[in-house]
Amino acid sequence: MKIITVTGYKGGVAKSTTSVHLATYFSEKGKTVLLDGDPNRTAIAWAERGGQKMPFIAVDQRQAVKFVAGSDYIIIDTPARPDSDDLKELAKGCDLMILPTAPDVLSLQPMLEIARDLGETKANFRALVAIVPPHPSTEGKQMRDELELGGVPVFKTTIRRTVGFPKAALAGVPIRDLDDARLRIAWADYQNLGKEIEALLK
Amino acid sequence: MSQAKKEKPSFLGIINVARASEPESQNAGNTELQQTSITVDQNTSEPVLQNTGKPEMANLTIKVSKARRKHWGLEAKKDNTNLTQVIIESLIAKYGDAD
Repeated sequence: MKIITVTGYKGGVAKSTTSVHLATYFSEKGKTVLLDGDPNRTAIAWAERGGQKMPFIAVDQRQAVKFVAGSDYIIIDTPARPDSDDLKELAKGCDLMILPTAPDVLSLQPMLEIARDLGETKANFRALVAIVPPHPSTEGKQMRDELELGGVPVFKTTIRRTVGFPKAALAGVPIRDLDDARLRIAWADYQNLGKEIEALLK
Repeated sequence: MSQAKKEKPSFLGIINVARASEPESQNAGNTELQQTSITVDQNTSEPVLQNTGKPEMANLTIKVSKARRKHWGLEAKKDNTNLTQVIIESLIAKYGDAD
């Protein structure tokens, strides 16, 4: 069983989008539960809008105990700025913590704060640069390279910004299941991220 | 009359339930998690987490000849201890204890 937490001190940096798509990726590998710890219930609402067509089970913290036993993968989506006790518990119990950030200074600062806090624990964590603007912008690559230079563990994969994610959220499905060939490349980003995570957790 | 709001289980409690369901070979890994038991609330029929506060236990099995086992067992008894205690003390002396 692998337990992966997606967390951060800032909202709007693709935490729930990342949780939903990693849960989709890992559901192709085994039984996957997405634990939506966010009081906004973004991931659960996403699944409910599609009439529960998601390939994984999305539950809140109260329901989780009934569903997590026997899972192969558990993805935990936390609220923005989880309290320090929650963060310590997650750092202790998870196999990997993912810290998404958009490539801008307003998102970067809170990500560096949580990375610093996690650095004081034995947590296995990686930053993820998401909501990356399309070519010719180089903001995403620049931020990833700078994080790496600064000694912050960071995924090689970055996640592009696309209108496909809000469309998928509206349809209540992962972007993989939208009938639009142009969006396959955005699903490929999460597939690459999934492969990186699998290699990390081997 | 409003019913008291049900306490949310903690993330660690949920993780412990998940880990406890793994086969032993998979969960004997990195962290020594707190043992958690599940009981059912008689009023709501909902599962309730109870953290027993004890570390999760695992078997450590070694194969030796019957003669050796008998000899070491008797010697341990003479010392007013048992083989489990002796093995644990030896391993801690050689490799230190878990964090």
